[in-house]
Amino acid sequence: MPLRNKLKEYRAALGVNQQQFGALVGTSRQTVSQIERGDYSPSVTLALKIAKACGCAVEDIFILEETDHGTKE
Amino acid sequence: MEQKNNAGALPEDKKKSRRAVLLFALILLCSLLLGVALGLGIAASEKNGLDLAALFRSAGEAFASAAWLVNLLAWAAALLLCGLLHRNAKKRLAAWDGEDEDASERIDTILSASLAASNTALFIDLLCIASSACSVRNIPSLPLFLFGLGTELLGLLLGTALQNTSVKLAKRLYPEKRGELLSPRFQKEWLASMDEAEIAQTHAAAFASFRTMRAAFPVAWVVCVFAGLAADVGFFPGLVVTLLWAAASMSYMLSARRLGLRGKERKNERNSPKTD
Repeated sequence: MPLRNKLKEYRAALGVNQQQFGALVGTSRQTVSQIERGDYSPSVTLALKIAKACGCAVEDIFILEETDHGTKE
Repeated sequence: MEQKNNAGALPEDKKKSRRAVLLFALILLCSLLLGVALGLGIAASEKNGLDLAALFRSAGEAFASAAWLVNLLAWAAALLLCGLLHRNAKKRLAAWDGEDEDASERIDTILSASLAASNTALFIDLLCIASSACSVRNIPSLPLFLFGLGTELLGLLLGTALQNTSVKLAKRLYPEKRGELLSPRFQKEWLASMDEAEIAQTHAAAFASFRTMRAAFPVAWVVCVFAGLAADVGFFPGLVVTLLWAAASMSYMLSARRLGLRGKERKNERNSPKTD
């Protein structure tokens, strides 16, 4: 996957389930689940909302994997 | 740096373009040969006394006389299948903790299967209604015709009821979903309650459907042209397919243009200096 994320860990630290976290950032449980599984890369707006809800920077949650030839496609 | 020619195209691009033109010419030639072969085949079969128009007509009449039974069987199968699937989904929904992803995905799959079953029966019903309408001038038995028409119209109501149950169960699985299936605003409200991941998924599915239609329309058009040649089905089927093809292509082009302009407008709004 091009974009790895630690959303599951951050959400667990907040002590909320996917439904509650979705309500917190204004999205659905399915989107939270898809992001956690790495099946969906959120928009910049949603990534910023997620980072704000988790109390950290976007780069702390979402990590773009680097390869020898630069960032992965 | 790769070398560009005078027109600005890379040699590799030029090679690809040449290959595409050759492939296109080959497809055209194959289509032409196939068309000529089919036309000659039709002419030869007519010369040998095979009346394709009569064959098509009697096949249509045979389907029309059995349409009520086909429709009844289709709805019985759909009712049984959807009933079992809905019961299964309800049971799983009652046991779902709201967190288990595998369980929610299974429920989603069950609901999709029930929608597919009711949709299939609905399309068979629509085909039967069209067939009944074609046979209206040549009804072998009026009570049977009325019974068939009654089951076909009842089928439409049953299909709507089954789909309504699926939508209600989907709303239990996704409480943020809005819209009532029977409301004329259903699609608009359902779409408005989607979030970005779902919208992206819907757009991808809509594009896949558009691609399928882009492949299906030429095939349907060719079938209509040859059916006109072979079985004297008239101009109307070809006209309908051409109009639908044009509507699908034009709505895609216009939507793409409108979305592009909207994006440009937003960019201009952002770049324009604030006056206050």
